[in-house]
Amino acid sequence: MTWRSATFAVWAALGLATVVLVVLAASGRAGVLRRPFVPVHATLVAHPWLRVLTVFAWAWAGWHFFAR
Amino acid sequence: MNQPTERWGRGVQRRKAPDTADGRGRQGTITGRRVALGTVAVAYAAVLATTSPFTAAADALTAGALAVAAAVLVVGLATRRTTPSGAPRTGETAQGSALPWVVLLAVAAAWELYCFFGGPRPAHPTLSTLYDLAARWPAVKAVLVLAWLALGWELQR
Repeated sequence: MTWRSATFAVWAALGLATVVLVVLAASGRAGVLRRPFVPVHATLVAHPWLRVLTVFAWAWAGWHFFAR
Repeated sequence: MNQPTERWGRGVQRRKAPDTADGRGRQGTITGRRVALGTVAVAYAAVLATTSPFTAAADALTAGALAVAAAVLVVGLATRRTTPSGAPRTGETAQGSALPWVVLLAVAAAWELYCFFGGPRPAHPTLSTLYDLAARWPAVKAVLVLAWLALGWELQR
């Protein structure tokens, strides 16, 4: 196995883990009233600076991928 | 008078609006708004997917979404709702924890840094490399734009 294929495999595993978490959250196993990201919402509401930081990271990702 | 309440994800209890006479109630308005927002998001993603990075069109479209997000963030912080007394103030809720997301994010960030500094790009592809491979197809790029918009929506709700 080359480094390239190993790296792709790790990224695929991380992507799969993300999908699993989203599905679990959407199915209500990790959230309230079947809403995804409920625990994340609670954290962001409790810590406004974290919310600003997270939205900034989201904005940076969009700019990096789609504009630059 | 006992009005029905529903528990929202942010730990805030809101009164449920009573249904109107035609039976549609507030739910119909919310569904209609979601459909409208979804349509706009799909159209936006389709247009952005046809642009190329480092062009004025890509800059303008992406900046437009960022401007909307910034406005929503400012309004959201200014009218911030607080958790009721006794409600959890951190990521812990009755049915879940933010810990899995934090762990996933930390592992992904560590792996990205390792790939970024670890060696030649072909052998250690970063997220940007993967994106460049996938974004060759406009349909895939449109899906990625939609995923980005959905994440932004979730973060701002």
